[in-house]
Amino acid sequence: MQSDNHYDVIIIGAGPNGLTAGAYLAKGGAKVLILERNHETGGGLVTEDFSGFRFNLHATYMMMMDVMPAYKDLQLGANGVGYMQPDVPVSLLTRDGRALCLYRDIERSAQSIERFSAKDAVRYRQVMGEWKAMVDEVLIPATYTLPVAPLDQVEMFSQVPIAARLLELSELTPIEIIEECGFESEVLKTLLLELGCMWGIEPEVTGLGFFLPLIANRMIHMALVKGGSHMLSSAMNRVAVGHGAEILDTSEVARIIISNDRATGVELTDGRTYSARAIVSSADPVSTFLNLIGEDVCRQVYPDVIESTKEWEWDHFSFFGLHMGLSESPRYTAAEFDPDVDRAMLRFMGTETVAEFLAHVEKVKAGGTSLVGHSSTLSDLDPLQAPGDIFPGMASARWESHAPYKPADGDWEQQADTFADKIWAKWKEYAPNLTQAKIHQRYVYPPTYIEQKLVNMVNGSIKHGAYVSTQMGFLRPNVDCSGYKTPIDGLYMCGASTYPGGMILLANGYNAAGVIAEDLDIDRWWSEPDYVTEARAKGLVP
Amino acid sequence: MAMPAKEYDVIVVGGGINGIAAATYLQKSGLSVAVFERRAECGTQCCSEELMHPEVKVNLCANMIYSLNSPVYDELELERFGLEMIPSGPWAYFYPTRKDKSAVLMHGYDARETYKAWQSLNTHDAEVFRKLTSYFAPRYAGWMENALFKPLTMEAAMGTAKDVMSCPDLPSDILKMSSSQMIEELFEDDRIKANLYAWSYLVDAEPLGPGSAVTALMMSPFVQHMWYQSAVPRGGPHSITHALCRSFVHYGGSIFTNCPVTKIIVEDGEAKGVVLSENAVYPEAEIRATHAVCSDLTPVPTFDHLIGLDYLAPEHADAIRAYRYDAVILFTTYFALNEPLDWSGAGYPNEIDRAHAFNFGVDDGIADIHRAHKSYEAGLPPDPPIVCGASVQGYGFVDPHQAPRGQYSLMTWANVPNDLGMPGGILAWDDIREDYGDKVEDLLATYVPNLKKAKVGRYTESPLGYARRNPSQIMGHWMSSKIPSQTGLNAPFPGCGAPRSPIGKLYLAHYGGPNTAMDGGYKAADAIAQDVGVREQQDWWNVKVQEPLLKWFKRRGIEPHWTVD
Repeated sequence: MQSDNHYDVIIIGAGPNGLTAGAYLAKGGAKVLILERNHETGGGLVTEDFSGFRFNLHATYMMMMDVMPAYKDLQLGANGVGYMQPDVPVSLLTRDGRALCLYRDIERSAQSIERFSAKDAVRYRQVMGEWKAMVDEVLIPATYTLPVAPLDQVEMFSQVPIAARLLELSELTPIEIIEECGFESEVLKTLLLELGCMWGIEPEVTGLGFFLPLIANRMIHMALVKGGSHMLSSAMNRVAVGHGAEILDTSEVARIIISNDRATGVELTDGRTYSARAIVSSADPVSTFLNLIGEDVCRQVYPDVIESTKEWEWDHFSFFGLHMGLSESPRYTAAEFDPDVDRAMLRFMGTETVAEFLAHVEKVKAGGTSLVGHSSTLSDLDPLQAPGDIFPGMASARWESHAPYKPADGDWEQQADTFADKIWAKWKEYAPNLTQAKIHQRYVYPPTYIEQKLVNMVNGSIKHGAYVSTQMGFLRPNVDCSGYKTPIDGLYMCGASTYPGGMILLANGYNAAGVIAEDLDIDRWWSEPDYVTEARAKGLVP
Repeated sequence: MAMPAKEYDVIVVGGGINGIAAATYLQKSGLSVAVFERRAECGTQCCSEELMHPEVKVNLCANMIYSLNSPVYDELELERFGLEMIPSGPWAYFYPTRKDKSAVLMHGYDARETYKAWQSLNTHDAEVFRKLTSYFAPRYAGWMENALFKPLTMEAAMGTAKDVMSCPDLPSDILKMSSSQMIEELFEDDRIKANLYAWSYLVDAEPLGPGSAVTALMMSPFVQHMWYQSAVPRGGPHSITHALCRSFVHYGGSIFTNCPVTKIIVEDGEAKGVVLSENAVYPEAEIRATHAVCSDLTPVPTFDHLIGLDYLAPEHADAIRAYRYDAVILFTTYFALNEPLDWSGAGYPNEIDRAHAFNFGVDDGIADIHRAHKSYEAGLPPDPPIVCGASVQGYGFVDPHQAPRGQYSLMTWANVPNDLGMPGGILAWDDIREDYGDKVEDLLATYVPNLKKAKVGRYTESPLGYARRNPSQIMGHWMSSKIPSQTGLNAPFPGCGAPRSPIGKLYLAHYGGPNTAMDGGYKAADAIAQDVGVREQQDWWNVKVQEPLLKWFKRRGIEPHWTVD
């Protein structure tokens, strides 16, 4: 007999992927319970309100917003999620007051590049045209379908020229790809490298070359969620509840209950227990297997996972955030060179050559701090993110830099404020009006806070685990589990540690929902996006 | 951009807890309801945010939680939708006195314990407590039902006034008295008097204000244990908002955040819908309401900013023009601590180390009140501060969801003027905010010296900060100045007829004051449901005031004693 505490599906973690899986399955008629340790759902979709200045402490720039199936399937647009795609998504400001701007429109980008190198402008049109085709025809469909074993993937991709070209690129490091493009402008090369490596992969990592075209293309289409990133998760939360899902926050799972070699339920830290036909963990593999199931139990039901999970690699560096509530928006000197700097969403600062950028990455990996970073003034694009409708002119601005999780010389508790002061001083060099701006709010967010706020982001690892070739694609989190179903009966995974990774793709939860619906005979009410159908016709996705 | 529906039965402007409560009653009664909220998160005044260290909740607004007394708690099934009230007592409240390291203690649910504690301070005052409690207790739920859950009528107000006046232990002119006159007349002990002064501020009964005695009594320690429990919502007060939102959405309601309303459409004297701001998720969208528009905003935004005074009769328009928000309100200083405040180590009674809430800073009784009053008249925050409410709320003690293990948080509310008597007025708060936080911190450290060592973070919010958070909080005020023309039977302005209003089909959910009992939302829903003809919901809309609390006690095996005898 079913009790009130019995569900079809229990999802551990109400981050973007947990909510996605939960909403799809609830809409399919399943009885769904989503359990969240934090008070707010959304995981990295965090927007905190400091006296009307909204600070997005984690995920901010959404690279798949316009293509993610969930937006349409879950009717997020009609449920309160608005987004904007800025015309000038990124720029790089040089120390001598020049600026390179990239636009959603390739032609306009080429015009900006022309001021640095006429030859590069021509190359950029060709390269971005090729990358766009790779992303639209191959990578986006692959993101929203199940992972394919490497050998099969090579075979499938070899049949189609644009995919075969992608395979070639994948063997290269980001640096090698940039070099291969044949650009001569250091500023352009640096900007593309920064885009690819800011949240994605390291510049000299091998085997993941496909990331550079993916990010370079998608970041110029990136979207800002109106009202703040948390809006995306609060809308998904409401959609899930509206379809009958139950969401309990401040409810931390202590243990996944395994009985008769099967995952049958969960026990919370306060002793509450719930059972279900399927347990879906959106946590990382270390939490899922070693903490929630436990090494001893795992040894009986899934011994192979123990050693590989112990070797799970976290990111080699993290992020430092400085969030400012200001009496006026920063105005950059480089806007005299190119007025579009003031309209740009991201402004990279502090580095303008490839060598400088590589030195920056090496320094941070070695535990040093670096003033290479980027800023954005979200309230310029979305006035609701500052109290400007009550107090005109006010602005919310953010700075983000790579930073070591553990500084080599001390700890963040002692250093965070001093480092924030240095950032502020650097910021003012590029935007002199900040010298007289009044600071109404300032929130310093060092890497250690990332893990404290989101326990799966160990060492400030924003994607639940490093992007290295042994942890990507069919291997994320491992060969057994990358298809979302684990070797333990009744146990599934759907978080950023699974294929295809983090970065608010809403892919993992979407893909997992399909697998779970099939296994549990839940109505698979949604139809696949057209781009998947087209890619399948070409044999590019399963 | 996809759009929400073009039309709903009812539109609620403002997703505060009263707005969502009203929306949920109506949605559950079968109407289609949409809530439009400007902020990213509903529950602006019932919030818990991480503004210092991760996992340390800052509850900037509602901290004194009355929800268990409210029919809303059961009728909207807040527990089913994830709200858990955690007991944090048994001592609900204390007032510490630096001079002799004593504390005026109040128990969470047993008047006999409070009586004993007061006896050890002053037998006369303990007797006053005993007598007043025995008179108040049996009448209390009835008064609250009349005052909060029914539209206030002259008849009901007179009935309660007559009841209070008939109390043989109160002076016969109690209705006219200020709370300070009442306190000085009834009590002997300076410590107990100081405690009651602090309470007067806390419950918005200005100590020197004529007629404030009854308000002070109604919300005073004599009834406090019946109304304000030492219980905290797991995760923080914002959990109430979460549970309400889930209940509303579960029954099919629609919430749209980041959707500021810029206009309430009035046609033929009736509210017919809303228009959203150009900055909203749905820029400049027009959404119609068939049966009602319900505003959860304060009066000036509702009638002046969103409707326009031309739509009001001249006397009502004048009332809105003259509407006042300047007042003595709260300055919040929040602390993150890595060890609990060591009250007993500083020489105070053991009981208070885990007590729920306290006031401090009015040791000199009436002299402090006059000092503060002079300050307020000059538009200056008192120095040293007058702290009318502080709360450890069990944060980190009973609820690890509000502070991680090994950490604690502490809230303090100092009473300050919102409009400063210095250049810039309220804007000058930007310049003095952190300094005033230092003053609060220094004052508290004179009670518990380990505060300085334990502090690992601090967040201050001034009236200006509150104004920036929420455009409905004009001058940072959660409601409006407590002057006779804006309160009681006149609330929010004379002739308004709240929760109905002079505009047809326009209702008000936020005019009586901030209250986690959600009485404003309840009354608005009650009026709308009656007017639309869906009020008969006998199977669920039938809970009495205090019933949820009694059930909550029963489940925990606690038998409350509301009188000493």
